[in-house]
Amino acid sequence: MEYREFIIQVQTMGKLASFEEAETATLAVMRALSEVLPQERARRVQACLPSELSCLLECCRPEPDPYIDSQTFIGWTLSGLDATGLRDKTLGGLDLFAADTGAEAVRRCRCVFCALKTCLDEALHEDLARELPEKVCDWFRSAQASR
Amino acid sequence: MVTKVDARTYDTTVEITWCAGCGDFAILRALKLALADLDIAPHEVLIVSGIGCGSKLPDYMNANGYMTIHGRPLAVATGAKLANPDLHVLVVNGDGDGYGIGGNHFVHTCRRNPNITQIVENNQIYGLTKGQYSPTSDAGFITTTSPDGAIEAAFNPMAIALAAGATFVGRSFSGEPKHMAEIIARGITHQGYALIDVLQPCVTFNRVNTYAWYRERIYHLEEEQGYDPSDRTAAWIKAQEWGERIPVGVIYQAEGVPTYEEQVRAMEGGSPAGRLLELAKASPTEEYDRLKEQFV
Amino acid sequence: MADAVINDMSILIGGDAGQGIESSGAGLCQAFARGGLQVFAMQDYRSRIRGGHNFYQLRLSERPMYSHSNPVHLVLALTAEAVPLHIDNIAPGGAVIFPEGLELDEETCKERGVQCFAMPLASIAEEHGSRIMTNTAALGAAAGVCEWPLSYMEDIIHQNFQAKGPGVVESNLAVAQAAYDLARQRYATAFRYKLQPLDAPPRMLINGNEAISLGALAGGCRFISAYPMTPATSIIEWMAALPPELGVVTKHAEDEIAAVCMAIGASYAGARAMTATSGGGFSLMVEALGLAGMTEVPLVVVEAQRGGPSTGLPTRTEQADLLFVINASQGEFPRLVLAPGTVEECFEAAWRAFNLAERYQCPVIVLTDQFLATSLRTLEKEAIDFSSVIIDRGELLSAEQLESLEDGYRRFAFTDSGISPRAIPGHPKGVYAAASDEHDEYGHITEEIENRRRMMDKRMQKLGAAAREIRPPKRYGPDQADLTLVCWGSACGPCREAVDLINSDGGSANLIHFSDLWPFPAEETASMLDACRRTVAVEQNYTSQLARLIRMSTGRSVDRTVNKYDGRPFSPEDIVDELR
Repeated sequence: MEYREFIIQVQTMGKLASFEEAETATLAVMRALSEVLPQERARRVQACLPSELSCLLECCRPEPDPYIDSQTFIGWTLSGLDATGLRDKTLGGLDLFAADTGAEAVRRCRCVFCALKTCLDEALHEDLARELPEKVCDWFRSAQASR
Repeated sequence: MVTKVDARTYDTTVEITWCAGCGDFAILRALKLALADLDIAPHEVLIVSGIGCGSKLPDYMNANGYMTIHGRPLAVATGAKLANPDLHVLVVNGDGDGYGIGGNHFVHTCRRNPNITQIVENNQIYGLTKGQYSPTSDAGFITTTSPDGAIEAAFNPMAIALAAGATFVGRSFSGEPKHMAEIIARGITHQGYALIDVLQPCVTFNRVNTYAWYRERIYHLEEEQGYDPSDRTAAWIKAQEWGERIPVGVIYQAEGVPTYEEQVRAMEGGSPAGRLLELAKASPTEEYDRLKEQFV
Repeated sequence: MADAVINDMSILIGGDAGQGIESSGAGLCQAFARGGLQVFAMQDYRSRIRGGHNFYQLRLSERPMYSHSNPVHLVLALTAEAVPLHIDNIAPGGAVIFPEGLELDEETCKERGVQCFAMPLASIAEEHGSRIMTNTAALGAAAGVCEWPLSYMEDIIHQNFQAKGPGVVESNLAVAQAAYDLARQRYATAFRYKLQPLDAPPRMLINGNEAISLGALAGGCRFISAYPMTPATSIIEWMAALPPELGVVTKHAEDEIAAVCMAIGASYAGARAMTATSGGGFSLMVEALGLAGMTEVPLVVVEAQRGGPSTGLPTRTEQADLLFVINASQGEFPRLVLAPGTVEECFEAAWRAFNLAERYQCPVIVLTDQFLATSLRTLEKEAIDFSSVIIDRGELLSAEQLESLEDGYRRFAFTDSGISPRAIPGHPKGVYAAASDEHDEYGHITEEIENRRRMMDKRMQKLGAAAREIRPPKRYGPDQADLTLVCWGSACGPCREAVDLINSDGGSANLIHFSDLWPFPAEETASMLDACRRTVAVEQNYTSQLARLIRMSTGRSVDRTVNKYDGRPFSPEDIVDELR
């Protein structure tokens, strides 16, 4: 799959407002994956991806950090989500919209996983799932490839 | 690895109020792993925090905890350690609590060298009060209290700790819980004050210093050929490094420096808490009577 | 000689800051105390290192005294300024000893009936030692005109100058002897005030701070963190000088906030911990006071009041923080306030404070002031009775009790008394987290409505329980009187002496004195006041804080107030004059 195609698929699936939003989410999920995939597994994934995405998995370590959990994983995506509103005149600071951002981030992550699974051989799906932290593996497994 | 204490012993069912994706989750996890790795049971540790998002950590752990007031956990922790030195005493607080309002106690604790480990959840912003700039925000950072960009140069905790005489100065990144756990364990094992500045993204309010931002900049001192953490001059140079390259790991460690408590003569025969248990049973009235003589 | 007055006089040593007034005054006190006299001494210093007038005023008697007294009878004037400053306060027949060559207004002295005893103090000092020993010469001269045996002073010289070497000791002795001989020879006959040693058991010469320190030590305090602040500094210094074997950990912290927080941490971890400060330091500690109150950690804070507001009169006295310490910190939580009035009361208040703090798991403030903290009094050794000290730790869970806990430990458990059994951290079954946020029984943060109400009820209920241990005010003097003085804290010393003066002069007065101030003993106060004919509140503050407190708590008003806010302590004569 081409890079643009990948992003547009994420955008469509996630009903996201713009290409940029889908791109941000995709890059974030790829980077999060690069934190948890061992180098050897990453190579196989890279082979299925367009170069703009495969390069993000370049920095995988031989043995990734086994303690990265779903919160740290999804954190990458959350940084790109707008969670604040106007100035909060009652409490000070900015009004918070973080109540739903967790769920929204997971939703977008799933969309990226869908697109990813579409690119990958089915044989690779379960191998990949096993490398993912708790809960993240469930998000991955339940994501539907579009083919 | 097989340990006597399972990290899950520290788990509670208390609902965590941190935003999804907050770096504090990983810090909490790393702390539990470190304590378990060192076979420290919940009743053997005291975690003192201040006020802030990260300072809620003791509420989310099954361990002795004391959530105190803004900026003061180091002082409370020092008192607790002096009274009951058998407890492993840790301080967990944020960059505002630790380096801003707590700045004075921070500097003096560095030179005091009590056997306390401090983990600073440094997200370069004030989270709980919803988005103002903090002492570690970089100059130019725009927030509700710095609409034209922060004017001051950022506080450099590594350099200040080193200059103030801290005997263990380390840094980690919440995206690397394994590394954090290792550094925390080393800090706890270190005899003396250990500062571990943990870079952590505030996914809600800090759109600049994100996971990606940190990942692009941090590098591991453990992987740098020939870096010797006992070399203070080398440490000084690393402590100044910020911006394009940010070193994580143990920047400085001086081993064998006596802790504050070790040098308090009044503690040689027992701790204030321990002695009181004895005093409550019987007081040394003859010794006290001898003291009266100085007034005669 | 005609009508000599034996063992009933006041001596004042006045000079510039930097002239060693403190050492001289203290030394003189000791010399008289060792000779069996009762002593009351107060200091009047400026907050400057050098320059400005300081004086030390000793009152000597055969009976115990609770205050200094005016006028004085002998002034040792080390500077010319000393004389005009004190001339109005010298009794007729009294005298001024001053260095020869000093410009003195002898005319005015003569008019007042005050004698001028010029002495070559500097040259005696230089001849037998060195100029710095001028004070010793003055002390020797004082002993000479009063015909007090020099041997007592010599003992003190040995003791105080021992560390500086035998040469210094010998020189000082020679200076003292020379001055003594000369003064006696020249002036003794003309001076009617005499001092003669008495056969008496050895007494202590002790001030309020020292008594508090002894009480704290006896009460099991083994941790004090503080920041130097006049007039409380000597408490941590005394404790720091204790033999390390006693195990008292002292910490001079970086500021008052660190000091109080360290004490709270130490107390949380199971020690009896205290801090000591004055009003300005207490202001910094206010937030932490709430931390202790909210997390139910026992804490003892000694607040030695001084002249305010702000930096105020750092070395002077006042009683203007009463309402402040009762109300300090945001929100509402229980605390106790004790305000001892005498040195004996200081000793007791100190150990009692720790018991109260642990029993009710709250802050206890021991409120004193510069006058009480630093004035020296002779005290029978038996008055400080360590065998009377009880250490009661309240509801502290023992290891056995923790062992037998079936459910999870609830540090802030709801109980009938409001007091939750306390575990010291370190036992596997006593693990808990405390929070300064509102919390549930387990210590977890919660804003839940029902829990909040119950927690407030629980905490405030402790105040009700503590009220049962609060002592009502004490009466001094006849049961019935035309005029009742009402006072608190250190004002009780001058007030009781004023009452004695009024009564011996044909008047009718008594005194109601408060030393436990919060929770306020409202019922007893109301009934005591209702039985009085006329009441006058005598306070060292501007707004009559005790009178306001009485009114707020009981609805009773006093008939009038006497207020002194010039930083100088009441003398009995001041009070009598005001009430005339």
